[in-house]
Amino acid sequence: MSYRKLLGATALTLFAGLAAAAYPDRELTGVIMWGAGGATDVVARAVAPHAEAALGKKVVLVNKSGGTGAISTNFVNNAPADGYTLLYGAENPQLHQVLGIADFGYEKFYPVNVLGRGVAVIVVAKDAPWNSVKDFVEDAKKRPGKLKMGSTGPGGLPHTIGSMLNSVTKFQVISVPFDDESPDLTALMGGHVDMMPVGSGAATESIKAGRLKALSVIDTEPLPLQGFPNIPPITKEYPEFGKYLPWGPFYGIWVKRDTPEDVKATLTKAFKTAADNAQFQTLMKDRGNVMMNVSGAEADAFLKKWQSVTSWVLQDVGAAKVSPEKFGIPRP
Amino acid sequence: MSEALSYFFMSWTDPYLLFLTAAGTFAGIYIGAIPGLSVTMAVSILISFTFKWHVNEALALIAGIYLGGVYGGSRSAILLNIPGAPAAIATALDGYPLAQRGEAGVAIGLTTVVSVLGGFIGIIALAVAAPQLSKLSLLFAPRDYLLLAIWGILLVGSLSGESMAKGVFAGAVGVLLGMVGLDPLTAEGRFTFGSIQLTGGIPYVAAMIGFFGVAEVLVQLHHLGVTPVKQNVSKILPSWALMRKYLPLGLRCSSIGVVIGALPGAGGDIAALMAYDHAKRTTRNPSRPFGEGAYEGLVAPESANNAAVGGAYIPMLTLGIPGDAVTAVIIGALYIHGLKPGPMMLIETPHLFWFCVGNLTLANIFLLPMGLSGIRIFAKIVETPKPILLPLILVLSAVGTYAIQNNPVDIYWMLGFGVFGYFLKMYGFQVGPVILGIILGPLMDVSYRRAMISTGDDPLAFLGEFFTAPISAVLVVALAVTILSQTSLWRALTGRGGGAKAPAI
Amino acid sequence: MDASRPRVPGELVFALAMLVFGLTALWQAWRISGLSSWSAPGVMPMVAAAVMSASALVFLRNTLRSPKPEIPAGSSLARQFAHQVLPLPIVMFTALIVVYMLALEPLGFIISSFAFLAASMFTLGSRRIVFTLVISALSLAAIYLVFQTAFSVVLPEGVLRGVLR
Repeated sequence: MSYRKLLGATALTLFAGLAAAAYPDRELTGVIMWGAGGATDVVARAVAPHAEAALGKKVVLVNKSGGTGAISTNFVNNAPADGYTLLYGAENPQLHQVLGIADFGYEKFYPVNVLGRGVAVIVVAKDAPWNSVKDFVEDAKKRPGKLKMGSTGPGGLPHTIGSMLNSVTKFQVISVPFDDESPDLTALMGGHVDMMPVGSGAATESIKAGRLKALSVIDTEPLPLQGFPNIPPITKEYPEFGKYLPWGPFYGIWVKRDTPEDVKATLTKAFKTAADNAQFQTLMKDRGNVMMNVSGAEADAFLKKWQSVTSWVLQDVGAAKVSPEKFGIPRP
Repeated sequence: MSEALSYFFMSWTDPYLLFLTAAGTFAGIYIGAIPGLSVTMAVSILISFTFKWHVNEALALIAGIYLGGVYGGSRSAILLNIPGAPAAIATALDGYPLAQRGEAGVAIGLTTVVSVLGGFIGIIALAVAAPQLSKLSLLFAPRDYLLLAIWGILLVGSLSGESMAKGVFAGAVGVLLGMVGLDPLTAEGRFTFGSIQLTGGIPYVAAMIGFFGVAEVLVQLHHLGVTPVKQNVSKILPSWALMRKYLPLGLRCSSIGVVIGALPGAGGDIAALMAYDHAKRTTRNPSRPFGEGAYEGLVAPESANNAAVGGAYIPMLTLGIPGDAVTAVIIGALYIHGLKPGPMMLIETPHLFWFCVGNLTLANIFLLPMGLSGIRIFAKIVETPKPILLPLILVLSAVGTYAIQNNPVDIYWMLGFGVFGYFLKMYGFQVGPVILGIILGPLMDVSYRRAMISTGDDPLAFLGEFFTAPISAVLVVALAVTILSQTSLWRALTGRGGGAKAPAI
Repeated sequence: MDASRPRVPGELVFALAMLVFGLTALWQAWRISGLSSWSAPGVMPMVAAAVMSASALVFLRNTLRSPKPEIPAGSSLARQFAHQVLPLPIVMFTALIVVYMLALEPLGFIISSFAFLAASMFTLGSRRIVFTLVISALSLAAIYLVFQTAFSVVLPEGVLRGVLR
């Protein structure tokens, strides 16, 4: 009994000591919501060393994938709001509500830094007969339900872009879902699907090698490709698409919303420095991402817009399980 | 060519790279042997601290860990009946019975030699046929993956133990367990009962450790008083005659490993199981019946899973597409080191290709002495008194399970599967088919549905494609031949009066 | 083939339980998506559950046909079950594992594992107390070093929170 008391007393002193010391005074835990080797994982592991240098403490990274990120958001949401548990995430939680996966998204978290966003391109096999998105869409209209689009399941990037395009101009294709972008690209190269929207980072090297043909970039500006003709923006053929843009996957770091302000400030500053690092910026560019490096209110505004645009697109094409209205997500 | 050669030998001549490769291989063996520590995990941790290094140094370390890790999984499979990694599941089926007979030394020796053999076949395939094999792997349509999965699931027939019904039941349980979680195609919950925990599915390493490790520990409690078998470690290296006898089988299984490894979406675990099945079908007179310590049961999976390493590098280096989970992480590492994995990498940085080939070769050479040393100490593990050994295995299983995703809930799964597996074993079931189902069930599910969706949900068109597409037609014929040969073989076996085995008590 | 050996005590109950398991799974699989399309998410679960139920039925039939468990005079089926299938060490060891798992988070990895190792080694019949304690401590130290330090697996800290870092 006395041993337990002693232990308790020691623990108490230690805790008191911890509270008084400046943040951070021990290792941080970074929870990555996707598995090792995925896009989110690579971005997280690439920014971490620079953030560690700025914070002066180690960030232990753990992958907790599952439930398209819901396992991780739940875990971090249940951890104490002391700034010692970081969430490294992608866009997925912003759709958890409408897809019926969880009843909260990023509004429960404070965006320490939204590092960057990806730009998508629409690609077809190298010897495909289509030379523009319009070619493809017209062909699909002639042969409804014959052409195949590669996707990654509802709420994934190809599915969302397909839905956006469909709301601009009606056409019908078969959407074949794969687990991830790479098996999807493999299927496209092998001729098992005809077209797919994909993050530009995953596709540019294959486009340069002449294995894939890029029809369009989902943005308002053309995408420059070193040594190759620019990829034209989707708004050139379909100006109405502009209302959804900019749109793409994004990556960032979050902590619980009710974390103390000074802790948030320390984290924000550290990750700002980390994201400014030249080596990290090159990596982001190589992977086809656009740097954002925003936090706080600016990031929140971006997140809100993204959620409202995407949720309503999904709702309008009937892919949402729960109406965005129920969660008070405004129509854009 | 001379330039290619100089990059090939780069890691052989640079002392630091040589050291890193050796250290990686050595560490890999132990990472592979400890259940719960995986190569994927080790490589992703390495990314964080090798990002300041030169890319060649990082690649040297990773190649060693990868090859060593795939091999190391066999160690705990043989000694403790806990496959250290999913690729070693098939190894446990005959390796553990050998250890129980006191032949752990021979089993490890043979495993090491055939692993090195498989490794070389994989590397040779990578070096000479990478472009052709990557083209072939692109041709595999979803329906072909379905055929592969069906082919694999037939293995249930040979893993059934005392009755076919029991084997089929266990396999179906596995398939069902593999379905738990959010459906990867529609994000619909399956058997999730409204729990967020279950949306992630059941981690199959937890199931593997539970069904093999914990269940085995519980069964062992029946033999608490029995003195452990003394291990004979005087002769470890298999004789030349034995090696010559198994060379053809090893080569065939290595080719299976290379092709399966090169397919994005199937890796060493599936390769090893299919190779085991192949061995079981084609071997007329195994050294002992399969499942009771047949040498063929070690040769097949161990040559295949190491050959799959070279196979997995093929789509990674030629297309920038991962061949399995580990190469997915390596691709991430290449990005962090400023390289751009993709079809252009071979054109822009051809030296990287030859460096990888040379480095894998080197790691594979290191594997031989490192795998063969220390067997004496390992054999001691099996000789440890049970009251000491069993609790230690349990703690290691628990930590290993927890480590997969830092989730204590997985440990409950592990115990639940352990107890269930114990009852299955008590009533004459085998646990092998359960794991087979967990691994192949999801592949079967998504491939079938993708193939069906591709035809616009038209069952007739779906069936038609199996005969009109060349690869599918070849696979269908091969599958039909396999099934037919099995039935006649089966009849012959039962005709000989397959006496019922006593339940595994 | 099953018919040739007598039943293991409890086998009949187990066969019945597995049939119920299979049928429940079939019902749950049906509830996923019914037969809404050829490629619905519930198709493969239904196939698996149907195969499970059918094979459980065969297994049940074989079990019913096989001879009854051999029960020596003066013993009962329950006693034979306890003797053959669930002897005392297994029940006690499993109970210890359950306690260990429940204690893992509140007490932390080190304390609970040490207690589990010492208690179970003793329960299973190791009588060299000092040796048992030393082996437990050494292997725990090794596990902790490998997992926590080298592989940054954050093991539950429990009451030692903040002491070790």
